[in-house]
Amino acid sequence: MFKIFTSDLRRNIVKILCLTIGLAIGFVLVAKIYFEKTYDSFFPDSDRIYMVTEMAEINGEYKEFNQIPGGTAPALKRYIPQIEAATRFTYFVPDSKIKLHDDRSFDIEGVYLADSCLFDVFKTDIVEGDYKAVLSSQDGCMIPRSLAEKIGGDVMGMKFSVPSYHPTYEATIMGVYEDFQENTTLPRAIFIGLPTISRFYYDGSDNFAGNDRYVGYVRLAKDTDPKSLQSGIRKMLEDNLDKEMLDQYNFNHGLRPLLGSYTSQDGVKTMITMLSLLSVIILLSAGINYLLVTVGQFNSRAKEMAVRKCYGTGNAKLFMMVVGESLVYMVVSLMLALILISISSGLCEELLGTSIQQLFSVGRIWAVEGLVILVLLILTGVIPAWLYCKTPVSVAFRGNRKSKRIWKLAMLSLQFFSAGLLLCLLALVARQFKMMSNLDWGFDYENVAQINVSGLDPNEAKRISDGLKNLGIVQHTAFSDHDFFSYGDGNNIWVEETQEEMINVADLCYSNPEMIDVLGLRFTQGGNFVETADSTLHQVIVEERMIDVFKKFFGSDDDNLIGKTFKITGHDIIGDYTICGVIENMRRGGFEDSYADKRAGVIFPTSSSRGILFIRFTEMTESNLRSAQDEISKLLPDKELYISPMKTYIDYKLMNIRRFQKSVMVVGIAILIIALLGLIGYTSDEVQRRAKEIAIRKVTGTTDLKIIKLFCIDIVKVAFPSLLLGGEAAYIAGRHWLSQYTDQVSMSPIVFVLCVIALLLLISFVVSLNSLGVARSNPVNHLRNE
Amino acid sequence: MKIEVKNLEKVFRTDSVQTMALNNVSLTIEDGSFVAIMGPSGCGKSTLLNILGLLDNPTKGNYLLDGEEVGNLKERERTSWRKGRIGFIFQSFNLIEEMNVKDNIMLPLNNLNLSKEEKNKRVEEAMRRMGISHRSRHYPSQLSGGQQQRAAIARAIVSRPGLILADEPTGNLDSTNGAEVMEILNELHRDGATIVMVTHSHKDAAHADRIINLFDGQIVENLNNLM
Repeated sequence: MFKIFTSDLRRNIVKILCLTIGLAIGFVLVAKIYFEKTYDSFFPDSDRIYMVTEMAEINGEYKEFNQIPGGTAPALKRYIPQIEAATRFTYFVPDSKIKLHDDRSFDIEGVYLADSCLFDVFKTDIVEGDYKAVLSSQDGCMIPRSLAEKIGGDVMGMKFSVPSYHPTYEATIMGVYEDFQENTTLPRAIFIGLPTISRFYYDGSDNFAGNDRYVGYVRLAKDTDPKSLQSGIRKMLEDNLDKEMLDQYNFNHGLRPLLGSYTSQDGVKTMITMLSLLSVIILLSAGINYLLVTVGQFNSRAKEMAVRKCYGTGNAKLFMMVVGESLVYMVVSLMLALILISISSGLCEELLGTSIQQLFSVGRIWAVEGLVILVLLILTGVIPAWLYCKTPVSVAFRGNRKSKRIWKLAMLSLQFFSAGLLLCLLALVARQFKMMSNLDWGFDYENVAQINVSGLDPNEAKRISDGLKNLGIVQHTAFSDHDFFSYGDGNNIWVEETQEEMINVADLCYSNPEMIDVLGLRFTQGGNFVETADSTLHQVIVEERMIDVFKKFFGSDDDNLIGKTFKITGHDIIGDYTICGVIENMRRGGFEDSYADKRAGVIFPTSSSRGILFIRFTEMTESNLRSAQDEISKLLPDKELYISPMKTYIDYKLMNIRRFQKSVMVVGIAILIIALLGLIGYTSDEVQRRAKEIAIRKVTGTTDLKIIKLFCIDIVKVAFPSLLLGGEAAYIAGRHWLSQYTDQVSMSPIVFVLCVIALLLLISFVVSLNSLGVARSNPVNHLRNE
Repeated sequence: MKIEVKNLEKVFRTDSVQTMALNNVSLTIEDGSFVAIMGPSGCGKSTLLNILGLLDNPTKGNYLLDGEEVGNLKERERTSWRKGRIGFIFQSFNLIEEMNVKDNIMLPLNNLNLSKEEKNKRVEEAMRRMGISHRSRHYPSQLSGGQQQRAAIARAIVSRPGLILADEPTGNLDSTNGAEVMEILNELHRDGATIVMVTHSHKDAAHADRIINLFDGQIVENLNNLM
């Protein structure tokens, strides 16, 4: 075997190299696809867990919401015997840091308030504590095992605070649960007992309507059809809610299966489709290149096989021999691929957003990867073995080099197709990324930074604001309840006469008037608040989108909104709000169409120093940021407050597309390498095969250039249509990928044509380089060999 | 091993062309004889040799080996028939480049149910007979043409076959090495092997008991060699 390997070292190294690259990238991509496809499936009885949704008719449109009132889930369990367990939980604190008494801080993935049935529905090992008792108590909490390990020692009874949000509040660790896997829609958070809610918010944990801040789940008994529970749901609603209200909004609850709730999202579906495309292409390219090299070796190996046949080796034995060789190559490549994956685990994590360890420890991932190897083995082992076995001995001895050329060209064209597809797709993704990076957000964030001061006393927050302004590097500061990036809270504009709620708008809550200067918001009508919320003017600033709202719901026939009034739910003042200014629309939510907040935004005035402090620097530099951070630490040495440029939030939102761009780039480069190696191998075979022909041409006066042209034209004839088809496939895949974004770059065919031309030039260059030797050689040598 | 061929035909078909490589060939080769097949290029010599060596089936006609009909065997059956019974010698030696001399010679024995000791004994014996024992660890590329052909002959005889088929065995050798190879074939013949040799060389053919001349796929001359 070793001699077989070394006898054609160059080709065999190419085989292993391409298989290694293909397996490494393919393995990671397949693992990621499996990871995404198996979201939440690790929970025991996950096929029987359903999310409780709320459905209501608003403005003639029937909508389904993921959040429900606090009383719904437990009531459903009481009314419907087929519900084995029900739970609800609600958001408390986002990703942040907790601080222990010994001043140590730890990153956490949020804090939630959950009821005592959480782990009845989402079963996981309880490492320590009685979760029922913990989650029924005030201030007691369950933490994930990974966090307990980071803290170290006996964590039970330890107290912690979340300084950035609730600096004075302390919760006590009373239990430890085994971490949920990363591929879950559930928060992998600290869960504090639900009764704690009354310390901070209105306690709506037993509501049946309003205060829809809870997420509810139920676990059904085996063989229960969720549709059959509709009468029980109806009965629960009729017993607990006013019939008039039920009829007015056509109010109801639904049960949405946990499994598939993640993968049914448009963005996830697109991601899985694109990753599948990339993985198939890379694995196929690696396999095809292996075949291409094997076919290149066919003549010499076929003679060996023929000799074996002459002396009585049967087809079955030959077949097993070739498959065995392929298996050895596969095992070597597999080991190298695993080494490559482990070396580049950081890059993989960066590209996929998931740790390699998690990717390869999910469910039956190794069975899936085994299947991938089996398919590759069939491609790389069975096909060559079949070729060798079916070739008659006499044909093998004759050594017909031309007979396998059509195979090689077919495989080469498939590789060109893949390279064309990937390069064109990469160009499209790069353009989209560039366009999204330069999008106008409706405000100027370049020199602006934020500090979350929601956990501070307003006087402390004001001290920071004043202190920063005195540094001389800050132009303006302002406070706001909203970060201006996220999806806005929802409140409804309503009409007093009919008490009808007309439309949901984005409530951007309260901001200081100085926010206009801090963010450089651009007025198209009117101007800033003339007084704050303390006055009786009840002014608001709205986005331009409000023009359409007024036209549609209030019969407005012009674009002028200044002085116009409306009522809105969720604000203390039960009266009219007057529009004092209209600003250009801002971009909120995500870039993806399904996450973009396209509702009209409303800003209310405040003079308070609370929420988020926005700081406009004269210039956003590292040293200015450091000076500001130092000043904050000096002013409030016992508080942990972090200043972050707004650009980091934009970068965070661009993370998904940046990851995809890099993934396409990595796969694209890998495929280009594989295709070029295949091309070099093919050209070398062709040069050898046509050596005599070229020699005769040279003898008869053909120039070196013409000979190179001869080889190039031969390849271009195959490459051009393949690349065009690849470009066409990229166009289709790209259109599908782009459809998830609100703003899309144009699908200009010129870019695709340019990519195809660039690849053609590269291919021609490689062919020219490879055929230069024979073109310049002395023809006599080749004729003598013959 | 006795060979009887009756009304043998072999037709090669491509999409547009049909070529009759062998046309109504009948011949008998007695056990222990040495037959040379001659004729111009493309007359069907190698095709006949391939059929005699059970590497290919005839399109029509009968082929009896030691009285048993083998003209219509399936590939698997032909392979099984060849095992240990037929030895091949090629013009271009066809040694496996990745194997050393000993492994090349061992090749036919790997398909026979023999003990390791027996295999080694036979290989040693074949190498000694061919005078290449000192080259057993060498690879084909490290041998001269004559040595390569000796190794190929050792491989052909190692399983002690009843029939040896040689396709221009001296075609790639100089006259000295060619003469040595023919001497070895004579020796094998004297030891009782049936030898069928395709050759262009009248000098080599002179070693045979009988010379068959082919032309356009037909036997045009079938003479006992009186020399």
